[in-house]
Amino acid sequence: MKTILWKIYVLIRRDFIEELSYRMKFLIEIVTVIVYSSIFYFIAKVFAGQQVPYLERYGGDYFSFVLIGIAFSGFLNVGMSTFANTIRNEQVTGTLEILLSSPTSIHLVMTARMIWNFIYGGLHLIMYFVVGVFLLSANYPAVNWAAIPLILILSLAAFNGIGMISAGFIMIFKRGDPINVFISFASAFLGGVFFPVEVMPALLQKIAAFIPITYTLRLMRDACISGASFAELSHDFIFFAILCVFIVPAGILFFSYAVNRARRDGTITHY
Amino acid sequence: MIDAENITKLFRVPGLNPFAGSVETTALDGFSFNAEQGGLTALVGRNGAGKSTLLRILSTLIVPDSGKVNVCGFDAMRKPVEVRRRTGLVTGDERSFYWRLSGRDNLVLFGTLYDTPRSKLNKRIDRLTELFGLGESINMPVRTYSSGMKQRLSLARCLIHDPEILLLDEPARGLDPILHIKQLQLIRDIIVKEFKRTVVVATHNLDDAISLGGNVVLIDSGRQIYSGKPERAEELLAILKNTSPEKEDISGFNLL
Repeated sequence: MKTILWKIYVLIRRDFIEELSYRMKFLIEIVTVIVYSSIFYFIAKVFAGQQVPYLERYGGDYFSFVLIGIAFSGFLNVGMSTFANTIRNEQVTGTLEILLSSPTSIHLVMTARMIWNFIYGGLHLIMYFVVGVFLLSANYPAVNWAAIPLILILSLAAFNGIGMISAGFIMIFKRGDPINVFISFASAFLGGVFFPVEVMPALLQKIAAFIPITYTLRLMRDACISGASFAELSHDFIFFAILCVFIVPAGILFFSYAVNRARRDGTITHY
Repeated sequence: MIDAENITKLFRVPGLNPFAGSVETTALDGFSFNAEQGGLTALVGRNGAGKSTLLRILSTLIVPDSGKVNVCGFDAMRKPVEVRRRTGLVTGDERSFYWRLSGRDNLVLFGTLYDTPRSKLNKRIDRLTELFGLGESINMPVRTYSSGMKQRLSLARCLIHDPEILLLDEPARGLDPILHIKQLQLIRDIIVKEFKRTVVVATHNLDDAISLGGNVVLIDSGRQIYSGKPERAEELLAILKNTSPEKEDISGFNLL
């Protein structure tokens, strides 16, 4: 166990040093958070003071509603795209061969990446909320703090499960990952990032029920804006957990299949 | 130590025309090979002869279509992790490091992934740094290294977990003549003679193969066409010309 934790630490340290060495990227990300949040702040001002029935469940304030959407869609993107990007980078730089010829399981390497995603994605989330709450007066009056860690863990599991499927596609096809494109599109359109899912026709709402971010956003909004109790959140929690039970093993299995197939095809070094 | 029997590997490469299907290339065609403990074997052949494929099969990166591969008493297909613990790989690709990390950080990372005991890691890095003349540069980011330093760092990484077998794919690629000779001396005099490691080197340079002083295995079109200890590169060249006279282009070989 100690060895596994040491390996995870060393891998996360690598990610941290690499990230820290790109100072301009970090600066640009802060600016992006500020600009992106401000755009929605001003859009929300257009509707300020109007009664929008779809937002009643969320306290009627569009900016507080959409801030959760954009912050968590960023978290989703970090979790989803980092795996595929990592595989692609390791293929191009030639480090993938060395990693795969080591006795350490590639799944442990990916687990460390998942933890890093959580830290890095978490930092993004905090930035959005710091900017939104302290600079742009987003309002979260009754937060169910106890529910938040559970929502984050389930979201992380689901997003990273999809990320592993995405990485599997990159392992096999090198470029052109349909999962990432489809989920990003579906999440933005159907998952309730910019508008409540309830606005859409019944059929689209049914499809949205199979997209993880739908649950992340609804749970987070209910927990942060309405201060919903665990009992009130239980229905979404159960469905989200069931979704994770399918997505996470699917991610692990598909990624394992992709690695084995690349070993068989002799294409691990290709990119 | 290494016993490979009748290995066949076929690659299906998609053509440029997406409607034309894939092209099949035989990388290894019933290739058999063995290496004794503490010995050095140089695999020589044209570009695309199957040398790198063989090294990748021995390091479990590629699974052969048929045949048996036994490394240090372990079946490479059934017990790949045991094989990986006992082998070190140099890919000849100087990019195969995290360039933003220092040489030391890279060695700590790869050493850890190769199950080097934590208590021995720093001592081993210091020893390898001294051995390969990396000096203070070990604490500098790899992106600041010259090609020669990266190649030496590759060898250091390969030895970090003290493997029994080293698989070196073009370990002197891209080095200037002085560093080239030094790199070969390191392999021959330190790794093989002093450390008594079993080494398999893939190269297309006939003189390098001979100067390493071990057994030379000549590969052509995925088959072994010669095994022995030739004294002159011309002997190998003559064998190759006689084996496949249709391939008149011998530019893949470097006689210098």
